[in-house]
Amino acid sequence: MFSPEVIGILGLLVLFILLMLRMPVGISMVLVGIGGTFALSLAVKHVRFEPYIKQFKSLLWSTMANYDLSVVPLFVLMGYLASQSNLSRDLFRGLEAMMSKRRGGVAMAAIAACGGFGAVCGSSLATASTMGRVALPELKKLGYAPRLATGALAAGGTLGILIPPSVALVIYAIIVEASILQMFQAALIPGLMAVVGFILVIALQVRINPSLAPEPRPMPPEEKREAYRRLIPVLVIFGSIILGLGFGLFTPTPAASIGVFVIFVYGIFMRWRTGQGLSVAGMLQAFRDTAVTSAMIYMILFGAEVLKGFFTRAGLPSAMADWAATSSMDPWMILIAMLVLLIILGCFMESLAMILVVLPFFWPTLIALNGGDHVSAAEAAYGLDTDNLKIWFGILALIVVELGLITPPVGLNVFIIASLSEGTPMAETFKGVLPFLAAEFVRIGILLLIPALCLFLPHWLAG
Amino acid sequence: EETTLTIHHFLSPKSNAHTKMVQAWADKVAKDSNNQLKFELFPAMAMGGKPSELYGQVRDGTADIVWTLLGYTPGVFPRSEVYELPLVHTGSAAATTVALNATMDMLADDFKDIKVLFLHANDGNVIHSASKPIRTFEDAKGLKLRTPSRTGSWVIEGMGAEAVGLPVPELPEAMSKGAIDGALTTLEIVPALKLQELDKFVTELPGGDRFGTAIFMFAMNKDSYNNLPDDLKKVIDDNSGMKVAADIGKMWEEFEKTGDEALASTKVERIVVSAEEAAKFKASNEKVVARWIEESKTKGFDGAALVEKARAAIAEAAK
Amino acid sequence: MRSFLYRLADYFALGGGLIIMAIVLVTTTNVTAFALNRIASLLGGQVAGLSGYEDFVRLAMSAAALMFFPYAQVKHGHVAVDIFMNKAPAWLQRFTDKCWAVLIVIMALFLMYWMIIGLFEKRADHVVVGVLNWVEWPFYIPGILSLLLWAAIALVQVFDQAPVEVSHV
Ligand code: NA
Ligand code: NA
Repeated sequence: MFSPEVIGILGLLVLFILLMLRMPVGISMVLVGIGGTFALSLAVKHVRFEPYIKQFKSLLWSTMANYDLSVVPLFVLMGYLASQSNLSRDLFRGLEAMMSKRRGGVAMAAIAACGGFGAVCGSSLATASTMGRVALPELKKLGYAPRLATGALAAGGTLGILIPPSVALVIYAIIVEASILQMFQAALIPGLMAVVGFILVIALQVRINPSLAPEPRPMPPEEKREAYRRLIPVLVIFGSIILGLGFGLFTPTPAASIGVFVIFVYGIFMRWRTGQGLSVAGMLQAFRDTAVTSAMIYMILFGAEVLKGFFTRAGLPSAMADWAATSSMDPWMILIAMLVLLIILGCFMESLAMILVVLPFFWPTLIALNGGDHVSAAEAAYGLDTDNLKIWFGILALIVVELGLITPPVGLNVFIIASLSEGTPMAETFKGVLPFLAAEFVRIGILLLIPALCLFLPHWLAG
Repeated sequence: EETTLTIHHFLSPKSNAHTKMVQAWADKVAKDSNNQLKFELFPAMAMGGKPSELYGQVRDGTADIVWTLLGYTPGVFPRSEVYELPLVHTGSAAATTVALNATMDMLADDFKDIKVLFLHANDGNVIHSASKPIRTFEDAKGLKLRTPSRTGSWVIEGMGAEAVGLPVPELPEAMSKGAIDGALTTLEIVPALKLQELDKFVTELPGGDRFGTAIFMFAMNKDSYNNLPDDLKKVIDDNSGMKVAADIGKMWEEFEKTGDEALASTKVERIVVSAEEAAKFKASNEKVVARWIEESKTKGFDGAALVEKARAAIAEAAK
Repeated sequence: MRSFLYRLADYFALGGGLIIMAIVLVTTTNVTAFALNRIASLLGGQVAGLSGYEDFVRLAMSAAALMFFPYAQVKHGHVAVDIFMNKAPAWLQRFTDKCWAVLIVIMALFLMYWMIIGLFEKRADHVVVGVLNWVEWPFYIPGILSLLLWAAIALVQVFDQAPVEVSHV
């Protein structure tokens, strides 16, 4: 007969096949979870199917009725409201006014604006599409090469998730029982490194190939003054949200609520003062966009809950951890292999589903490799105790997972940007993304070598 | 032929409750049955679902055995709640645990659909404060405190404070950010949540008395139990109820010491309120008991009688 | 029928959005009250917060989250991996997509069925939420209705002539 572990692995395979057949991700997870448990119940005497099914009386509701997860739709809504209130446009215009003097400056402003918008938006896709809508027409009008313009915005979109708040980090923190706030704090320096890295990539590219960017055209002083005037409130709002979160003035749900509230009030105020802020139609659209994004996330979360029950009953995560604890392979090699696997999977899979499916296998394995739950930093294989390993690995995993958004053949950010930029072939955008990918690999290397870049802020802020 | 039973619960595999109680119980029963009974342990909700679903899981047989907190499904175990109350539980996990298991007949209606292996209490709630010291009854007024249970929030509201319901893992963060002032919870939980680093003051009542407690159950699916051959049923029975109550109670009494030790090495001030102030807390807590008795009338049982019997059982057990 | 269901899904999504705004208001009020209380306590006064707002957030979110599902189905917002299938022949794409739509109908009805059972069980058990002391079962209702609407919309889409557009990965 099949052993439970074999059934578990077959379940993984079936999941992969269903995904490739374009079955919606969350639905595939639910089906494999239920089907796999049924198969297990035939093979293993103490796994019984009928009681398992009865769980669905409460499983769906209790997955939704979760206080910790309530930040997810809030962070999503915050981003869409900021976008509908034109905060994203004001941010970009202000930064453009600052940087338009140098060659490639407007593309750099777009990256910086993506980073800034990332501070109020929890999702990569929303960041890419919002900033794409704002910045692409301007870059095109000024005569930027489509390859640079689309590449920069596709890469810049990933900042939505790398700069806190980040939906993916919330989910990661809940799975490994880390503090959401500490994860946000840990992501701050690596996120800023990405902003700097991307800007450097643009500077380097236009130096090598000046034809990528037009001759700089300084903004007229009047236009500039107006841009700065609108930038200031945006910087105050975004700054206070990220500081409030980063320095932990609030716990996540209140912080996200206050963020939504402030942007909402500001949008209405601007509407009243200038006629350009948040309209009723804009607000309803923000609700609709939030609905689609949140439903997608919650469906995947529910799928993961169903799948978890199956994999645990099949004994897969514990089998993998046992194997890691007894194998003589180098822990660093395994860590790097995990990251590479995440990058490869990221080429095909949705990032959240990936975190949710893969992490329950990787995390116990890493703990076992590190020397167990109670290991001290001095004796640990990675030189970090469990709590610090949790934070560091979370940031690394987040970065490689998000790379999937810009790697071919499936790179959702690239798809979104390409769809916003008529007449630019997708291949051109993929080419444009390559230099930014190189910067990302450098950053991963640095973070692998210097975990303190992730760990410094959470430790310092914890006092 | 051997039988494998699954055990599901909500705490981490590192916790005292897992290693010293659940794992130890499983090992002992396996041994007593000459390995006819085997156990697969799933801590930290590994089989899926939220802690509030554990009761449903054991009732339906999704897991054969669960360990859970009755307070996770408030309203479902109305009678057993009597032992949570302040002035009923008087600060001894050992006494309340023995009393719980000794009065199973009185509580039986709460557990019609499952086979209870044993019930137990923890040592009881003290006030952990990260903001200001609570030396007098009035000091607690206006504070935001995390509540451990439904009746716990009555205790908190009785003191003029605000009850906050938060998942346990979120407690340390909320406390360190000042989102709440503190928590009504046990000493036992201190090391797990690193409360020794967050607390500034811990307030207790004189004579080891507590602000109520929480009740847990270790319970089995009825069919899973009934399907066992008689000799294995007996092995389980020999490790249930009054047979183990004294040991389990003592164990939870001991767990409190790890909290004491963690606090001892810090500057956290331990406050025991004066007899005069204790009388004010008592007056407030008496209202909690009265409210509970009043509410029981709508639930179809005699709360006053239950309080009386529970107090008698605890007094008897404490002898 | 189709446009009626789609409009209903739109109302559900907007309703969910309003519920989230309610969460925002309650939470913001509570934080403000807490901050004021901190200040007032220095002056010997007191400002009360909303007891049990966390329970409210949980319950409200359970309703809002499920109310988003039908609209996501309208927008084909449940992500799928579109890497091989977009190269497959059109008839095959159409076939698999219709299959998945049928599966979604079945799954939504399956979840709805069990949730209804769950509602009656919660009611029989008298489950309440901790601090607020509200009964839990009524909060199953928005979810049950949403699942029914979700199933109906997926069913309509099975018979849709228009090709299914899928949101990628
Ligand atoms: Na079976
Ligand atoms: Na972000």
